[in-house]
Amino acid sequence: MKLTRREYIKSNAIAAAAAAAGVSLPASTVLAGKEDNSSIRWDKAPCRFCGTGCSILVGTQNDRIVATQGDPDAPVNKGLNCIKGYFLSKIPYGKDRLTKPLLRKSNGVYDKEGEFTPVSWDEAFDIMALKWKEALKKKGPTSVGMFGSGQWTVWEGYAAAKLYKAGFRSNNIDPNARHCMASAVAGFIRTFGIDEPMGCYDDLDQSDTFVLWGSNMAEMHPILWSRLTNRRLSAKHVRVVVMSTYSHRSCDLADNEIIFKPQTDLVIANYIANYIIQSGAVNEEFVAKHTNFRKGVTDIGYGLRPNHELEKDASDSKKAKASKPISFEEYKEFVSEYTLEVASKISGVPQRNLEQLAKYYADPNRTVMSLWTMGMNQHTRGTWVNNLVYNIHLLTGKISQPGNGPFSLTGQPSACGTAREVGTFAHRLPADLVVMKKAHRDIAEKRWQVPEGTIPGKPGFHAVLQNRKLKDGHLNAYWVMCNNNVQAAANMIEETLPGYRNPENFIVVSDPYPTVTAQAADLVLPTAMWVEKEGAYGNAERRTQFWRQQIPAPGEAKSDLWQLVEFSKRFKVEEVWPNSLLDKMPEYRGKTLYDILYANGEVNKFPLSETQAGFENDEAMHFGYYLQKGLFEEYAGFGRGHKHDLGDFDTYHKVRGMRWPVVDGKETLWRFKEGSDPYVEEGTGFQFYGKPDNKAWIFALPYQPAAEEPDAEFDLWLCTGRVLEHWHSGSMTQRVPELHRAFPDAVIYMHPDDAKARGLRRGMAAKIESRRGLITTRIETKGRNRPPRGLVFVPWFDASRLINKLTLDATCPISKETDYKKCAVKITKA
Amino acid sequence: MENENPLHIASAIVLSQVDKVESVKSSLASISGIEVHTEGNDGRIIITVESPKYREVADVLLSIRDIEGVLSSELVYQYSDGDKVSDGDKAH
Repeated sequence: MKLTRREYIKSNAIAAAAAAAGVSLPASTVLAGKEDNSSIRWDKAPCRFCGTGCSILVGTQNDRIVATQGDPDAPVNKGLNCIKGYFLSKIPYGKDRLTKPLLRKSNGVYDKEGEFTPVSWDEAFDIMALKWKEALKKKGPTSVGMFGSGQWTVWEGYAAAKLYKAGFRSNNIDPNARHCMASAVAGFIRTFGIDEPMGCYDDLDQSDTFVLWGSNMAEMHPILWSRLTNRRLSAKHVRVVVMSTYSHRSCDLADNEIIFKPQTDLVIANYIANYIIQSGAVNEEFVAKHTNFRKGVTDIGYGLRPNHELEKDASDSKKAKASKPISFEEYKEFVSEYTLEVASKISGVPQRNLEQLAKYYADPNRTVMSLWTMGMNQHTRGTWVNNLVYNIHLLTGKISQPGNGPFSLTGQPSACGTAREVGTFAHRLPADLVVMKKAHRDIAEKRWQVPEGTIPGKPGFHAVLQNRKLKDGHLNAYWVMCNNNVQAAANMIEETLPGYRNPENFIVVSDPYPTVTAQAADLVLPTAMWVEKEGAYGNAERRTQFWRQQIPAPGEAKSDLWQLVEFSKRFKVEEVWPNSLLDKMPEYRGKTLYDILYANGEVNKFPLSETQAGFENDEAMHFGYYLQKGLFEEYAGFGRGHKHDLGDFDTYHKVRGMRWPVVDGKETLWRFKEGSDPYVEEGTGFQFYGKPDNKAWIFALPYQPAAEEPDAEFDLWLCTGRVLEHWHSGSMTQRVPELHRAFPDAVIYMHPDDAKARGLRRGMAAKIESRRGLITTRIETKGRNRPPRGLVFVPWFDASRLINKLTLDATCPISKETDYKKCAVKITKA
Repeated sequence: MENENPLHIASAIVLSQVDKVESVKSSLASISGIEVHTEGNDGRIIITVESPKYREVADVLLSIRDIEGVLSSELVYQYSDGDKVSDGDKAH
């Protein structure tokens, strides 16, 4: 029987959905058959959006994406896809896609106050190289920097980190993951001595109890939420607790909805620990064998500029990470003040809700999975609250086992795989090595074949500090790649824009689209995105996933990888390194950074013949070798045999990802547990091997107030965040008209009584103002986000309603991550 | 074989509360562009959404979550004619 094109596509669509749902179809619907007459080529790629890491089948026809499908063979999403997936096939095709380098010029020459003018790549790199060399000559390596991304592919992040740390000898490279994951990282390192979750998504299908600590999974991680929902509905005893500072869609499924006063998650976590101890629920054997107790310093400030009132007397701010050993008895005494009565009073949560939650954690017969994202991470005590949640799991031994464990969700597709594992932070090197330790620098310098002493030992400027240093004129040649930081960084009028427009600075932005950040730049580089290049991402459960290039990039757009590696050819090593360093390896004299960093016998050792026939690979063709494979293999050498083992390059192109450590071709589902983690020795049960004695740390840390709380004038809390349809700053999703229409501009979600008290009603225009800036937008008192009195929520995707004009650049002093969830505002009629 | 008529199709799995499957199905069927195909015995309903306008498919998909009794709605497959994608962008 002959089907029309429409019938054929439709029957495929139905069959795919039925298969994913495990529903059988009536015979009449199955007749589509297997004969593919559509000439669509299907191949896998991880989704471009959040950190879940769904695998997508991408359908291309005539070098253009025409269809997508949730990958039925993917363990993460099992054939499903969230609404953002509907727009994946369209994100490369926005009408304002950048296709030529643009330089600000007046009368044909570069002028910071000039108009954007199309230039060749040659001219773009000429002016860039000139500005970098000027800065290096005048002020040295600390005057050049880069702001990168948790959306970089693994090899892009690796090439960038190497270019800066080994090439320019500057640690001033930091990823936008600083804004989303840094507190999770610092929490992991501080408690366990090694980064990233011990468990995996399989826990979502097995746990008895799910506790959301500041995460709206229903909107932000819909596919993981659907796995959790399935578990809740298929087993009667399963319970869901949703903790938040306002009610949202995830609360619809909650058995226990806990709306707490901002910042008091610190109180609640300590209360739960106290309850566990007081009720005799401590897993004493586990605690004795596998944990140590510590007390952290507490007068650590709020990560603001040193002359800020809150920093002046913060005596511990220079050593915010410090802690000293204490006994269990001392810890018990410390948390004993966090009684049910106290916790309820400070948090504003009814006692019965708190007690029920504590009982779930304490019950030895109940597995518990704690989940969180920005509610815990974007927090001036973000590292602490991560530590405190680990305390609960360690006290009860509910960790590293199926259904049992703390799990930090991720917002970006490769915040784990690139930003964290590759180590594109200002203090990090690959595989959890850090620049502060000589032994670690030695390892990196040896692997990179650069002289001892190449990598500076002092951490570079982190994200927030980069903006301050730009403003103050200390950071002068600056490259922003694969992110939209003018829109994303807090306190943009006082702390972000002044640095970008400082006449002393030259700002380069690489992006597929003219974002707010690109418009603030001096040079804009058009960038190939997603499946316009070969890539690798690492998701929140340690799963590394690869894809091949599916379509060509438009016009002269080039991938971040091409840009980084090609730019390195512009520097003779003598222009960058001092003689004293070159004397250690005189054979490098006369070479370029490209020769030393990339054409080094390792990165360029895989021939073009190893690329896959039938798929373009623009970077490999340009440089004449399999660049991605060479970078990956050199990078993977850092982790193999060192508890961060990545698998074989070619295997990743065949499978739907593998979760590291991958040892003898086998992935690891639960780390630190004997029998499931190959690094744990027989007879030990558990080993938290990030610490020298294999013991994790339980921390005594108190509740402290937020950096800025409501007062008589600025009388409301402001919390910012995402909504389902718009991903982060909206630079991709805002270009999809359908999404734009569904959620046209950022509104102020507000309690109706708070609106009424200000003479406002739903739909009215209102002015929302902090001590730093204001915007005007509409009031929303109904719908998906329902704040309690005293708090408003505003999404940050909208480039025409920039809420980060209002936010405060206070950070966790340990992780340096900004608190986007708490500052004080007032709202009046517009 | 290109494209005398613009074609935009998506399929999705709608998860309904089990006791509300019938009302969810009739709500779905009343929305223009949605076709209900089959259901499992656990509240899962297979639908397609079809429209000559790319944007309408998106609007419909987003509106499903607001139907009383719907627990989740996940996309599985989407197809859209290349030329029509450009038209959508012009509309922006």
